[in-house]
Amino acid sequence: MRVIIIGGGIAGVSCAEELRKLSLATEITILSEEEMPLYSRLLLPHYIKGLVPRERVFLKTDVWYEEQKITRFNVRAEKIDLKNHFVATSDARELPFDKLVIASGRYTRDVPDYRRGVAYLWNLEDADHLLQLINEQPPLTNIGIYGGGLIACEFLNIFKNFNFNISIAFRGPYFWSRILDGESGGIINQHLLNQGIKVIPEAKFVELRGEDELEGVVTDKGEFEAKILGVGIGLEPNISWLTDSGLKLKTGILVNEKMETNYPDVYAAGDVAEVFDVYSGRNRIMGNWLAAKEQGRIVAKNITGQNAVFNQITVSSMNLLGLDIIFLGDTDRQWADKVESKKNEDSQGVTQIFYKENKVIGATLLNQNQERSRILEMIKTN
Amino acid sequence: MKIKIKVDPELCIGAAACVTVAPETFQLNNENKADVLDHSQAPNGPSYEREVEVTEEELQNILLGAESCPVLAVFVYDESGKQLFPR
Repeated sequence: MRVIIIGGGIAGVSCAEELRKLSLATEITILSEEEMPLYSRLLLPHYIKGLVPRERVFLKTDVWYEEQKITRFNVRAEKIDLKNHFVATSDARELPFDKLVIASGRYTRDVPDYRRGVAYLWNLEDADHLLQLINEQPPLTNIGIYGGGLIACEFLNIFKNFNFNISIAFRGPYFWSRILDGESGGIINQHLLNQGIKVIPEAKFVELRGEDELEGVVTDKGEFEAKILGVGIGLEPNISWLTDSGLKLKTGILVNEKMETNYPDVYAAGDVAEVFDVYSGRNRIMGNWLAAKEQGRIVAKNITGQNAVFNQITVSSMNLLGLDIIFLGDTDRQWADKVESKKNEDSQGVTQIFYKENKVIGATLLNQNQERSRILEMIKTN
Repeated sequence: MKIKIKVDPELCIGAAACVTVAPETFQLNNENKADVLDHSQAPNGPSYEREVEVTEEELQNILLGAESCPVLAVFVYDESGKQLFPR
């Protein structure tokens, strides 16, 4: 059996690893646009802050792929032909497969302007670039962030670590404004202000200032000086190349809880997969490292004839300059038919619980870590 | 055999992969970081570091828990102090 895996991130590699455990005879090929072995995105902030050396971000070595007899091609998959079972690659080859796994991940949305000093934070190259920019700037330099989600949160932690003077602008009234309630959002905004950060909410990006090097950022709510701008305005699943493939697409590639697409022999896993959430009853992109890893393994099991189901409850935990923020399960306000919010005066925290048809499907915890296992249990036992 | 298990709280991000794999050895505390347990117990109070007597099977599962950590914050040493993970 020939299995082609498109994408060399955690979903693709965990699929390959599990597949090799289950079958010695399968021919496994990973197509990846990145040349290096698997590394941990979650270690990139630690690497930038100097908590771990660069070599420690790698989770696999070149030798590992050889030992596991997993072939890697450093190419881009450009087209798939599901009728004739082949993948066309950027080096003009047509690679035949019996089973296909698409784990092509997501890419960062960008701002429509560029100067040297604009930084993103998604892959290792971004991290190297950001570190280079940081090393050029002394403490107390004016630095900016545009965005109000997970990556903006990482930028905040990183820039604060280097003792920069930070301004942050975002589109919503507060961080994660489509998930959090006003109470949680207000606590976060106040926390940022208390840390001496300039906060510019409900700001739309206009343009950058500076000749070649970044000097400042203009928004419709005013401008601020910045030698570096960390941009974290979301991620897009990498599916535009699949438009005519025949695969059912929505935000990502639609798959059921067995990670199967609408085509037999074709699976999707990780950030590109819009998977059926067995707890909340809708398809959604989990966008989470542990989910991607588990989904890769589920695909391997199902390719080899098992009947495995993805039923992990996703947990995203962030620390925003000392504030603990945890998202459990499905936290989409549009999908939920009721959201209950409760403030804890002792911890200055807020718990929000998301319900669908009277069942708990998700929650957000702001400084409410102690609630995590109780609410996970509530989602699980629905 | 005796092993030493250590969680680096500076690295730990509370992803709880280790807790899922080896709940008798790891548990999240209120700081959202993983404490090390000795067979579900915490003698002398919570700690990020512990020497534990384990069977070969238990060791393998603890190593699996350590390997599953996305930020490699779990360190495992054998009796002589040799680092078993990260390799």
